[in-house]
Amino acid sequence: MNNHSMEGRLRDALAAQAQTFSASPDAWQHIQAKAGLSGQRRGRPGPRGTGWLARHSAFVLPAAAAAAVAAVALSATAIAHGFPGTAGRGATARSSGEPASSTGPRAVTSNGCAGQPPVSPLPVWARTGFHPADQAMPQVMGEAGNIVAILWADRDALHSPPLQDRNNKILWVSRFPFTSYNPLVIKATLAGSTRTATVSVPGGPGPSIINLPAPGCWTFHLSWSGHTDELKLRYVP
Amino acid sequence: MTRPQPNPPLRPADDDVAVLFRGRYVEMVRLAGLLGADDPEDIAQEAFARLMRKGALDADPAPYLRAIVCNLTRNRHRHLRVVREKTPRAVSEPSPEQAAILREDHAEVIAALAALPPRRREAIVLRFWLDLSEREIATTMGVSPGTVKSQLSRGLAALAQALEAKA
Repeated sequence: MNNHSMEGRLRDALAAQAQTFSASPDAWQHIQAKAGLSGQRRGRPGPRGTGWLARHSAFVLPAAAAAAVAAVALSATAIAHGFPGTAGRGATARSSGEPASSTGPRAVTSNGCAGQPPVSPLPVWARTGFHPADQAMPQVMGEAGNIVAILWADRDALHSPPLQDRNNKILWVSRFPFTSYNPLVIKATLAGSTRTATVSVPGGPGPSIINLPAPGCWTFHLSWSGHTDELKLRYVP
Repeated sequence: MTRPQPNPPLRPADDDVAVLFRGRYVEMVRLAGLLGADDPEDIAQEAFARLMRKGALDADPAPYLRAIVCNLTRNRHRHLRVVREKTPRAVSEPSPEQAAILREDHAEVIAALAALPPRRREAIVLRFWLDLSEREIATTMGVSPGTVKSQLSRGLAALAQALEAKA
C-alpha cells in the first residue's frame, strides 16, 4: 500500500469514526460543575457580556483544522452553502442570485428595518447574563417570538460592507433551552431583489458576527435545533 | 442616547470559555474519542473546566485545549493499563453503535490505529484528522517537530504493515 492511499484510508476512517462521538446537551453544566463555579455562573452556554466581542477573532479555527472540523462538526447543509473555512463564530455570507430588481420577496414590515431597532428590556428568557437584568438593549424579536437578535449599538448597528472599527455583532438568544449544539442556519434574502445569502453560526444561537454582501433590508429565515423563526434586519452602507 | 452596556456577570475568561465551548466542544470530544478515551466527554469536559480555572486565555486557546485533551487521555490510558492488569475484562471496546456505523474497511484502520502506542496514535490523529502541521502537533504533544516526524513515519509504517497483513 503506498503512502497516498494509506493516508486517504486513514483520513476517511478517522472522519467516520469521529462521527460516532457526540456531545450531551448538559455538557456545559458538567463543565461548570467540574470547574467548581458557583450557581450564579451556571446556565446555558453563551457569553452575555462584552468580553467575547473584543476577543472574537481569537476563536477562528486555523484554515487547515477548520476544514477537518467542518467536515465532522458542522452540518452538510452549512458546508454546501460555502462556509467550510468559517467554523469560528464570525461568518461572511456567500451570496447568490441577482442584484436588486423591482421584483422580489415580500414587503419589508418588520421593526428591524423600520427605522432604528427598539431599545427596550429583553424578554425574561433572554436576560441571562445581563446586569441589571431589565436594562434596555437594542433588539429585534423574531416574528414567532422564538428568538431575539440583540444588537450592540442603538443606531445603525449593522453595516455592509462592515466598518473598519466595528463588527456586525449579533447575539442570538433562543427562547428554547438547549438540546443540542447544532448550528444556527440563517438564510437571508435582500428585500427588492432575489439576492440571498446563507450563514451558519456554529453551536447554535449565541454570539456571532454576521456580514452580508449588500446594504438594505434583509429578511433572516432562522433555523436551529428543530426550531424556526424569521426577522428583518437593516444593513446600512 | 447613551449606548447601553451590559455588565457581564462572568469573568472575561468564562465568557471566552463559553465561546470556545460552542465552537470546540464537539471537536474535543471527538479528539478524545479518536485517541481511544473510554469516556471522551468526560475528558473534554475536564479539559474545558481546567481552561476555565486557568483564569486567562492565550490569544488562541485551541492548542492549549488540545494539549489538555491529549494529556488527559494519555493519563487515562496509563490508568486503564493498570486496571487491565488486574481485571483483564475491563478493556474498552467499540460500542455496538460504533461497530454498526463504521464500514468494515474503516473498522480495520481504526483497530490498527488503536494498536499503536499512544504517542504515535496522537501524532497520527492530530495530523490526519485535524490536519495540524508538524509544528502544531509538536506544540500539542509537548515534543520536538523531529519527534513528531518520527512518530508519524513509524505510525504510518505500522498501520500499513497491519493492514497489509489483513489484506
